[in-house]
Amino acid sequence: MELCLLDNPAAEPADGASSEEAKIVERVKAGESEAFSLLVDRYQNRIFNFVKMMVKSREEAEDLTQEALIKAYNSIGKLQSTSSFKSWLFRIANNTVLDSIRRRRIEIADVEESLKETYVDSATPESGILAEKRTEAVKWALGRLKEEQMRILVLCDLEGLSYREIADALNVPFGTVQSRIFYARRKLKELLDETKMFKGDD
Amino acid sequence: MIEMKCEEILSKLGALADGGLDGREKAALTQHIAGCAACRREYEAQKWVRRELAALPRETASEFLKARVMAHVRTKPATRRSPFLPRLAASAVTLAVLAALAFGLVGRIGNRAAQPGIGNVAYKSLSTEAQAPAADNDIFKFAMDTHSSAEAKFQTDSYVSSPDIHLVDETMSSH
Repeated sequence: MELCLLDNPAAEPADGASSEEAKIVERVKAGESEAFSLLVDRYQNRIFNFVKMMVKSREEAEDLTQEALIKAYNSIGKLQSTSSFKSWLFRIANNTVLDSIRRRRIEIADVEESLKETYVDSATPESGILAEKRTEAVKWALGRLKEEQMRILVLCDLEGLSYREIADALNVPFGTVQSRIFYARRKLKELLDETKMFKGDD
Repeated sequence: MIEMKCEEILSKLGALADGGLDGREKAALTQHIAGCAACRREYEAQKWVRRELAALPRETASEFLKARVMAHVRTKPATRRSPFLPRLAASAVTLAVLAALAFGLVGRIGNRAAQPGIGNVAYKSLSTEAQAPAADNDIFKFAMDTHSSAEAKFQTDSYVSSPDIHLVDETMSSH
């Protein structure tokens, strides 16, 4: 389970994973192209999930993930050593999806409208079918959010990016991230409450 | 302890639920929600949504995705590039062509002034007078095209953006 955290930017360089990743990035920059596979291993599923939340088809999501990773490789020489590869890659993925939506008018993810009427009893989450309905209901509500709200929640609550990383990935100020996350979650809760899908929760 | 009103703290409740905020701010918010049922409900709702989203199942990309990416990678070694070089090269090409044009023009005027007859004959033997300025324009256009295409390439390489959200890499923004 990944949850986003408000980070302390000053503490970032001490992060072991970040510094290890920075070394891999430097190896790729130095011409060791095979090292890029380590970055692909780390991020292909996370980028795929992020993209998949925004586009309807799995194939489209996979193509866009591939496109984003290749763009990242082609531009990696320009990534500053002090920048986070993770937020940079998510930014590329985000923009790749937005460009694609604009260019090809691909279908945006949209869970069945009929789910709005689905009742999910949270008292029995162990039931596979009900858990599935619950998942679908949350996805349906995510799909009803404004695109910017949905993206920020996916980055924060699914992908576990820090507020600082989200600010970098979406190119918005830190304070905007803070307020957008609050209002997006509040809207998601309203949507789920309206549909009575999570009766008895909280 | 800071006294805070509901409207001041609302947008920070998400951050509080995410376990952040510095000590002083966190203490002030915690104190407020302890005594404010409405804000407490908002705070609990933030935590609930956070849990629901985090519990969503993740999908896995196909096993071929990595192979496709790496197939591209192997055809094109990554190189560290100086952000100055493309612009410098483009400017150098432009300057060189402009210099050539200037020298050519001076030389042509000099030839014409010194030997108008020969100059005109030579000139006309290559092209008509009407075409000659057009040829110069073509060279100039070439210079401009070269410059702009180099710029365009530089920007295309750097571009990973949309009109709404621009991703201009850090190296570009430093200029």
